[in-house]
Amino acid sequence: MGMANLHAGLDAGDDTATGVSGLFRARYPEMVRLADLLGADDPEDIAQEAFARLIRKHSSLRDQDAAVAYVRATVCNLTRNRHRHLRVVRLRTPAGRHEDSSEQAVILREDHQEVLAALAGLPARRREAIVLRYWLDLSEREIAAAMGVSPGTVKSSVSRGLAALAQALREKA
Amino acid sequence: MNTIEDRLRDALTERASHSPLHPGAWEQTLARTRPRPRSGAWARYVIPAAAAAAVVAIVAAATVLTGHRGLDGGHRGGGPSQAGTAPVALPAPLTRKDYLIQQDPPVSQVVKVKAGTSGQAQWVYVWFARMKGGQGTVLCSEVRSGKDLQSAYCETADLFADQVAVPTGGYSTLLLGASGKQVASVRVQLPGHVADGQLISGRGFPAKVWLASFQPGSSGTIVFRDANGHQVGQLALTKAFPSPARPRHGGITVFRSQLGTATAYLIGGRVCIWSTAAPEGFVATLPASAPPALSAVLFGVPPFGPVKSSEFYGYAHGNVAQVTLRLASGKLLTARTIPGWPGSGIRFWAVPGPAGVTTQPQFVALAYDAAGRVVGQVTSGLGQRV
Repeated sequence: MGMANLHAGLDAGDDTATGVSGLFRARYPEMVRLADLLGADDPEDIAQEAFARLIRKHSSLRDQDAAVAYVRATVCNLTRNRHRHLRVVRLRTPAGRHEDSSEQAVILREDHQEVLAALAGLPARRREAIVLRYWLDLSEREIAAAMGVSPGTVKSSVSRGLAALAQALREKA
Repeated sequence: MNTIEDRLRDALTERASHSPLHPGAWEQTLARTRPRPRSGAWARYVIPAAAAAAVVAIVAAATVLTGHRGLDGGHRGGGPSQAGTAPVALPAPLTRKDYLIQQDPPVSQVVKVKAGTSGQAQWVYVWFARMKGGQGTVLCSEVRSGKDLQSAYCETADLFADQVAVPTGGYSTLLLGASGKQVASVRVQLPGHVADGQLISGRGFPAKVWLASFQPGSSGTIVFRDANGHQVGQLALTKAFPSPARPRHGGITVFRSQLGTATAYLIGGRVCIWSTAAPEGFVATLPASAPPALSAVLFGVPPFGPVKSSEFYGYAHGNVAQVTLRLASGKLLTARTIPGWPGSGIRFWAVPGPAGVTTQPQFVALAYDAAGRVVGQVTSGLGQRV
């Protein structure tokens, strides 16, 4: 993946896009992976939409950290909305024609598959909190900003999520 | 025994390493931020399919001049790729509503020159633009005759180290392209007739633009000379549609669709593609031994009857892994390339296009190598907006 070359496709004179291009180069893979780990059926679509919204909003963001936090929160929101949409679609779709998440097509180690299957079974908020905590190593405050909840809610979501995971894995064993 | 936290971290890290990453992601993201152009702005670009095909054919008919033209490990010379000038104001009649200007932001002055051999004069507008997603430039041109727009095209204009000139566009009666610094004059040599071509310079031009006019269907040579009058390169000018017989065996299937099966053959060192839906095939006069980064961007529609499907297809240099087309509506079409004949250095690509179209649509086609670098681009400003 030639991320170093992605910035070259700028509109001449487009300062906003120019400002975002460096961030895109540095953070796009991370945002795609975040959407993927949150169970998005099209993680690149989610990440690209998040950066497109950043370009439209960029002038109102105070610094690079704020921009990263904005994109991360947008990825979480869009993925959550996508899950809601897919649930509606599934209610209207005959069995066997569900839209699969891209994660189902990947071959992983068996023990990792068990962990990820248990993670996928968690409520969306707990899954988000756990991915942000254990994959991105974010602080409770950063996770709260990404999820749009209080740090206390993050703490309980992580705690309950871990307990549910442990329970699910024990039952599987 | 690992803790649940350790197992989580390991599983998430492994899973994340499998996430898809599209090489044209930035381009796709920018496309989401562009306002859609107002309807009606493109009506003057709609032309008959045959005319659009002629534009493509004449571009594909242009061949490479002296010297090796290889992308693999090729050293780029000091030609057009050195462009770095700021955008400049555009004179009438080109405005920011024009498709090419919108797609490929200019980095030079737009120069207007008169061309044509006899009868009604043609007006040619030429300028350089930045290749989106890549490091080089594209040379853009519009050809007008009276009020008719005959050609509107941008194509990769990078010259390689030992290249004298490269063709990038034209119409049935003219060809143009970028030339190296050593070129001081251009001549068109046809049987029983010799005429001067033109070398065009402009503010912000990273290279001179050559232009040669000729009668439709001419066969001959375009000769490039240095300041001392020595020939430094030549371009074979061939008729647009030579028609070899279609072989029965040995082809490579490029695509299968409602348009039939399209099969590519290597005949006389040139790529030829036929579809079972039409008796006429595409014949590139560009030698297969020196394939362009991206060429033969074709648009297939059934010759008669209702148009229920369409297909973009073509061939590319062996280092092109993926081709992405962006239509005027912003819709993206992506195709992975498939290998051509062993050792040919050619790959094929095809992607279903939109339904209900009757002419070649406007598009930007980008060629990506395996590392995600843009290595070629073709922009067509003619045709239907879909």
